[in-house]
Amino acid sequence: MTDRMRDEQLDSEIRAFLAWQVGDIAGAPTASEMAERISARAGMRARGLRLTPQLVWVVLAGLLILALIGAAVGAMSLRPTLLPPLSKAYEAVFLRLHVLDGTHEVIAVGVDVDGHERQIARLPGAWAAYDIQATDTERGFLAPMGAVSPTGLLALPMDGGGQMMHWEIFDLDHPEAAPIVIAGMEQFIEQLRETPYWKVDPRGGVFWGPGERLANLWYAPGGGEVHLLLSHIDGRTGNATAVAIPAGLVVLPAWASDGSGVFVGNSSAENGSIDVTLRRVLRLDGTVVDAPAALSESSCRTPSGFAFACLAPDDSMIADIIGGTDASQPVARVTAQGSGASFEIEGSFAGWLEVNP
Amino acid sequence: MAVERTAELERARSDAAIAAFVVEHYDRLLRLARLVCRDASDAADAVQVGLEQAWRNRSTLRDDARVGPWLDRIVVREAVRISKRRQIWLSRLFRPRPEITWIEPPDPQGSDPSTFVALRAAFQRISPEHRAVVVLHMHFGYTVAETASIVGAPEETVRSRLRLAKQRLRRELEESQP
Repeated sequence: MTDRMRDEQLDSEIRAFLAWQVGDIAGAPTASEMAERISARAGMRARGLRLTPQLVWVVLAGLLILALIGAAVGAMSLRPTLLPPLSKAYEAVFLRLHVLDGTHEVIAVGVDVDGHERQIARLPGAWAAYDIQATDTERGFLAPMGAVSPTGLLALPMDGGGQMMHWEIFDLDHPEAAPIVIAGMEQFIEQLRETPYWKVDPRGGVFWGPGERLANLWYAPGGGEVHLLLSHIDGRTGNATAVAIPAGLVVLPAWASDGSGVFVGNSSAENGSIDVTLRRVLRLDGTVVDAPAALSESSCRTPSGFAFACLAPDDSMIADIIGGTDASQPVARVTAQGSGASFEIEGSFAGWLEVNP
Repeated sequence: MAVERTAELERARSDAAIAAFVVEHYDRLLRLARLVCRDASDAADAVQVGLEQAWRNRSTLRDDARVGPWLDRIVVREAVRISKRRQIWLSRLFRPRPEITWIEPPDPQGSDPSTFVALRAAFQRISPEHRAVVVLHMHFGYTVAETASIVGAPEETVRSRLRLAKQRLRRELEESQP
């Protein structure tokens, strides 16, 4: 066979492969769903910009009323009686790695609805200082990955040597206390999720649930192979129970609100599609039971129109990955829903922390 | 009330226009992005970002007949960006561990022809920029000059990428043969 014939045969094989591969789009949103996403985002901007003169008057009148109400509330607050806070507020928690003179530490930073940052905790020696080469010219240390519960428990992978990571749980209210080590859950660092911007994805990830329960979907190595497991962890004791994922099911990032298990969807072996409807729960004992979506609880709800974003439990803020990302110096955007103000925050987004308003 | 009704009508018209725009182009763009990215989820993200950019900047398009290549350019560049980000994370950071066999969720294409399986593995190992030129030229039928315009590279660079990509695919295909 001549070189030219070989080239033509290769071209033909590549074209046939591309024609075959192009049909593999199972799991992607439909055109209607995509149109809704884009409409939602375009609508937010359009409504923000196209204020008619009449609307401006309406807005000004509304602001005047709000100012009067604010003044009345302010006057009431001068009274000596102390009232309990009406509800909780939330901070977006970001993790930053500081490396200096051969030592490293993770710094947890909280960002409030006004974009103010505060240092929550310093965790010396936490995470790992992996020197990476992200591109031919850029170098840096791999940014920390962890998930924080609303009550301030931070699940963080820790360097176990040989690129194997185990998990430890820090209490951000008591950063000086020894962390809880989760036994029996080791995974390769390359199998960790980049950040907890939860979306349905067959790769493993961590997410907090009710009663300080943690779920981790992870690949357990063994015998030259790795197996996908779901572990349920008690956040205060570190006790972990692993269950195998029954064939045809995909773990969804939502807990049952009673803490009995996590929701699962169906994976079709025929066309590879995933049904993400919240209908069934994989319980701690490995059984699967029917459960309504109303009983679900997710530590991150994705707001409409966003691909990688997380809505605060009180709807006050959105943490949004569109602000930029990098393996060593990630940047996220926090947007206050009320004012519309947005802030670029350096660090890995780790979740929402409940604070007193 | 009249102001609200006008705003509602304007919003409905805008939503309908966006829906028509997306429905007309989505399927082709999703398939284009799918071939450049490693999976359908990344492809959908690339198309969403691309279509949003296109919708915002549609007034800059002077020739409606060029809307196809214009959209392709926006989506391909976004797909390459997303794919590079994922490649940086998955492939460049760490040394490979060849002794590990990953058990992924059920592979619906497990019974595919061996040539396709080998090409799929090889295709994922070439760079996103190389995948983009192969896809645009060999599947979507763009000439080298058109491909160069879409990916924003000189024609000679596109020829070089095509040549190198095919060499790599051929080598991996031959090595996969028993």
